[in-house]
Amino acid sequence: MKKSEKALVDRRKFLKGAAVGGMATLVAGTGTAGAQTFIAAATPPADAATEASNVEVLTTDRPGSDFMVDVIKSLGFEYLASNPGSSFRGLHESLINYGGNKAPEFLTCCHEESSVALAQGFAEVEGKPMLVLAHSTVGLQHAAMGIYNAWGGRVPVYIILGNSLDATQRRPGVEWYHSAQDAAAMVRDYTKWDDTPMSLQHFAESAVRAYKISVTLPMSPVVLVADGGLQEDPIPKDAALRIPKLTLASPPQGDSGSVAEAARLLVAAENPVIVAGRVGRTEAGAAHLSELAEALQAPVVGAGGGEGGAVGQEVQNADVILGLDVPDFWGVVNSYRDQLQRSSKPRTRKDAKLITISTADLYIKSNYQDFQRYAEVDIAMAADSEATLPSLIEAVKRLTTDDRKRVFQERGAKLVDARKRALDRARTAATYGWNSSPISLPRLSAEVWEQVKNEDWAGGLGGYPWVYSKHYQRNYGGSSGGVGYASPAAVGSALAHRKYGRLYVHLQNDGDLMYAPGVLWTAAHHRIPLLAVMRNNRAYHQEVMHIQRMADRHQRGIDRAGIGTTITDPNIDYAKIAQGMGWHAEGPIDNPNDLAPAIRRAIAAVKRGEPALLDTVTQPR
Amino acid sequence: MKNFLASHGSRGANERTRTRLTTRLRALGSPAALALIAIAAVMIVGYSSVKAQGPRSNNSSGNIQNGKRIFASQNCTQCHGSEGQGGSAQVAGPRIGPPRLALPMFMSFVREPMPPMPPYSTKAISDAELADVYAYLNSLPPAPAAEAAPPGNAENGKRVYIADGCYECHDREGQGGAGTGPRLAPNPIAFAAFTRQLRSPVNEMPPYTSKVLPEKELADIYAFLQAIPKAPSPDSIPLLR
Repeated sequence: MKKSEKALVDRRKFLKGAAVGGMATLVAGTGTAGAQTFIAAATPPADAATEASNVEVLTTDRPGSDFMVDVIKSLGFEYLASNPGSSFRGLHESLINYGGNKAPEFLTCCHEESSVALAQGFAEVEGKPMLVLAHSTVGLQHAAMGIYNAWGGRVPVYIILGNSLDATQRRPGVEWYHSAQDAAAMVRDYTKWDDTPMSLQHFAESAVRAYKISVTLPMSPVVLVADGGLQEDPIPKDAALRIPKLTLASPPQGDSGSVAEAARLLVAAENPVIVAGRVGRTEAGAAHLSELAEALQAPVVGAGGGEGGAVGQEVQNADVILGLDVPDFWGVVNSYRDQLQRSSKPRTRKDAKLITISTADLYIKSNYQDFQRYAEVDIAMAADSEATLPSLIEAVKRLTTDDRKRVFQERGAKLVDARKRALDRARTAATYGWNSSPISLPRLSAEVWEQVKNEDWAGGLGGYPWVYSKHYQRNYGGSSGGVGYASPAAVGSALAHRKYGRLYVHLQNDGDLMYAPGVLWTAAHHRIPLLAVMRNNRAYHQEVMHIQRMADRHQRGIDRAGIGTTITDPNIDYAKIAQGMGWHAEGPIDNPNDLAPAIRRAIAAVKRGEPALLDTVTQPR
Repeated sequence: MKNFLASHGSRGANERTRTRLTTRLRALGSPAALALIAIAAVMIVGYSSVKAQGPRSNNSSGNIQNGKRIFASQNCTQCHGSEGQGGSAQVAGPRIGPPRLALPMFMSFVREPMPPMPPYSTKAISDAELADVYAYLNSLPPAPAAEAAPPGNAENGKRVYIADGCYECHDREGQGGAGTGPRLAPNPIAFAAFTRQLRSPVNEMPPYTSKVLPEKELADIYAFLQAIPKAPSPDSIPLLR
């Protein structure tokens, strides 16, 4: 079952218990302990009624934030990630006391960027959003980079932002710095929707709408502003609050005519190639992708477009190319040269037919240029690949004659040979620098693979071919390229894998960790096990290369590209940092022969439920 | 930047863009353009990486004359020179005559080259024709002595290799990086092709002019790469078996 369907079913179960008249969920009918408390809250408080009128009322047992918690719980969040902030203090208290700190459970983060990236990593595995609470202006500014990464990766993150709209109610001083007229404005260019509800009922409707929008394809982050007064003021005694029913939108399928034409081209093709982008994240998507590739005996290649992206020779040789939710299809079918005069050329055959199925055609914004270069194609289906593949597979099978089947079988045999040759090439490539120090990435990857291959693992390291046989193993990790995303996202992904008992393996770059290393503490504090293998190459090497390129171009100082780009003197002791945050950690390891025992010890720690880091000193790339 | 915009044509009217595109596609389809796409340096690496996998075999029974004809008609000459001696600075394909690959590896490479050399399917050149090309290349004289590397100081070469940032893309022992730069050693490509690629690369590699990398240092780097020992066989490494 797809994650979204599962979420829908879970929601339906919830609604079945909660619905009144089958149409809507009344808060009083939620059937949960919290809701029962709320029923009492909806009636006039007895003690308040008997209080003398000249005594200031200083307490309430029914703040608006309790109702917000009811709404949040109805949406099925498992966790919320947050760095605490006074602008949502009412909601914070309601979540831990009224809500019992369960569903959602608090994850204490040390930076809002970490909160959002952690939520993104979780959503990439679970296919549903995590809640993030952020503190008005300053918290959102910290969170902004994480939100932009989630936007670029088309991953749902659900952000509730504290704010204080009523100027007469603000505390003097800092609360004014922490309030905004239109708090969500600064991230509006890279969120799909936001709202600032003016009443609790408005909050309920917008909260449900925001959830629906965030998980409707293309998925994206959303922001809901929770006003401080709305959180902290008592629920009006005559409030007839209700939580609207959530019905998720079904994903769009490609139209029958385009599907039929695409199938015709694919079946007739001599060298069809499938380029897999954001498809295969779910079990169903992976199964469909595999079935189409089997039916056609066509190679599936990754969507490695863009600057420096490596696209296999399959694309150059293909007569039909099918792109499935590829973020940068132009970069797949064109080569690009970044020399003094930038230039590009199609890398495809002139007679190649190009087909795309992508939800990117359904939604686009203007300002941030994450949408990439415009791709000229022959068929563009504005649709979800996963939803469209079953009909495409059926059409392909229907059109496949016995003659074509024979051609496909021959192609398949060649593919098997090609894969074997590719594996042999990778084995041979790994031998170069096998014993070098700093350690080569293929050596590091092969050493870790040897010890996790018989576990139920997910994640993985590049550099050496790991065998990915389950849909949840692959890390998609889409982002906008903001550094600092990987370490918190890995903690979020590891959290999602925890309940399934999987060993999550993460390749951690040193520069990335130094953006917000506090996430190490979050992982230890919440007992989130993962094996983080650090590729410690002691520089921002991509930037070294850019400076090198400029120095070469300007014909001067090519030995000075390390200025401002390297992380040495002193070398950072990451093992000590991680140990200080409660991790099992070892390093720096610069002798490849020391890897195996260290990996064994780290895996043992992970199996005890601890996060573990191996600081390995590696070659630059 | 002017050139950048012009070459992309994104600011032009649709019609102009279409015309340019059509021209570009036509150009791509022509054998000459295909040859232009073939970028020497990357292919060189593919060449040397497969070379290490098997001994050279001269057992080619192909038709030399036919091979010569096909070598020209398929525009192999565009990148690899009229007699397989390697291309000019603009299209610096490596010397492939006589070939250093055994025939099966040669054929395999042409069918599945390292990008950006375009692949040649059996539709473009049949196996028999490719064997003829191989026979032709095999009949060519070896590289003249002038192409031999000048003497260099390997120790200083190693220092320059690191100081000038070669290791950024190719790693510290020339083994190549993950998606950044190809393998350079052991057994580096011929010195002439090595120099051509450094001075006027045809791919993403930045150009190292003599102003930033004098001839002496270039020779030292080459000496360093030549001194890198042969890698062990994958079968001799338990993890890679």
